[in-house]
Amino acid sequence: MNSEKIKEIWKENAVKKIDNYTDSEITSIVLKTARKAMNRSYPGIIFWSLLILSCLLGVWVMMKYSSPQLQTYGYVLTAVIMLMLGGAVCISEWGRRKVQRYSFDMPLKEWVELRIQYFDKGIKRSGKWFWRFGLGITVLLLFCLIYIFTEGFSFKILLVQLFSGLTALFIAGTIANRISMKRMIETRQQLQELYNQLQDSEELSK
Amino acid sequence: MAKTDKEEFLSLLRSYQGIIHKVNLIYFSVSEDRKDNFQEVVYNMWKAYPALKNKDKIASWIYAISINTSISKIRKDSRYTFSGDMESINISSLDDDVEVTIDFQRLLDAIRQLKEADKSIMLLYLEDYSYNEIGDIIGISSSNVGARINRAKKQLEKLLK
Repeated sequence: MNSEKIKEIWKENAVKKIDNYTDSEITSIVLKTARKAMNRSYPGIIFWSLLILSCLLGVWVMMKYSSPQLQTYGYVLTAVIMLMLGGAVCISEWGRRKVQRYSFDMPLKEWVELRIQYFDKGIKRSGKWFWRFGLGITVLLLFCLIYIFTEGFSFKILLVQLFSGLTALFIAGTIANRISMKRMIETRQQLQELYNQLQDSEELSK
Repeated sequence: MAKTDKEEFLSLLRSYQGIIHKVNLIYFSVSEDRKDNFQEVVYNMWKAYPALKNKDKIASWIYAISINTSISKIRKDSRYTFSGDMESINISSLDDDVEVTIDFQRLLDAIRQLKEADKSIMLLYLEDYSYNEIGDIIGISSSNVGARINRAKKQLEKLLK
């Protein structure tokens, strides 16, 4: 079958094969789309809001039941936590806006290229999980030490509670991180394959 | 989106829905998947519409969104694998909704066996788009489009012998 015949078959049949939606069906699809766009929430924002609220609640409980001396540390702790979380929220929001910029109306090659870059950054970030966890632990231990020394709290009890909590957090975090990293690597490979297909055509024309 | 924009969007979709259907046709053989992808394309169009500047090239804009959305869906759905090497045509994979001629079904099956990027390029070629226009939608040069079309045509001819 030659290419003229192929074109002929396509033109004769493609329109017949298509089952166009009626006006009312199109209106209903657009309405559904509009609702979906309005309802689509961003898990990142919910996560950060919950995290900030939990931290503030923790600090408030600590300050309410502690000595005036510790309350000074409480203010410092609040300031540090808010600064760190504020920075993290800004970075997260900036990342989300950047992802949204990868609009679907770009040329295919450009779109694939940007998606690859995005996944590269995600994979790199996931690889730093142990460092980020270590940093979090250091900050937490620092404040625990302050708490122990100022309040004369039993180091043993705190250590047992802290150790079990951190172990659970570390295991859950590592598993989640591994799963997300595996998915990102797989997706990136598929995108790279597609990008190579387009690159291949560049070589064909030379 | 303002009310007039919504009306404009609706009328645009009514006039150009055929483009989305055609892209769906070459990427998905199951009717349900085509319906799902249609909605996803409309959603992505809805998001991108306020930023649309060149309304003279609306068809190219819809093609770009439809192709990118379809590829994104295939990537996310584990039932699909990215097309690579050519295989023989399996005519038993007849589409499930509309009756079509055997020749057209064979052609569809052959196009679906092309590589992901080639499927879109071939579709645009079959829809009489110029090499320059195809290049703009896919993001490669027109000479590359030409080379890619020649190769895909040969592959299709071989598969449809």
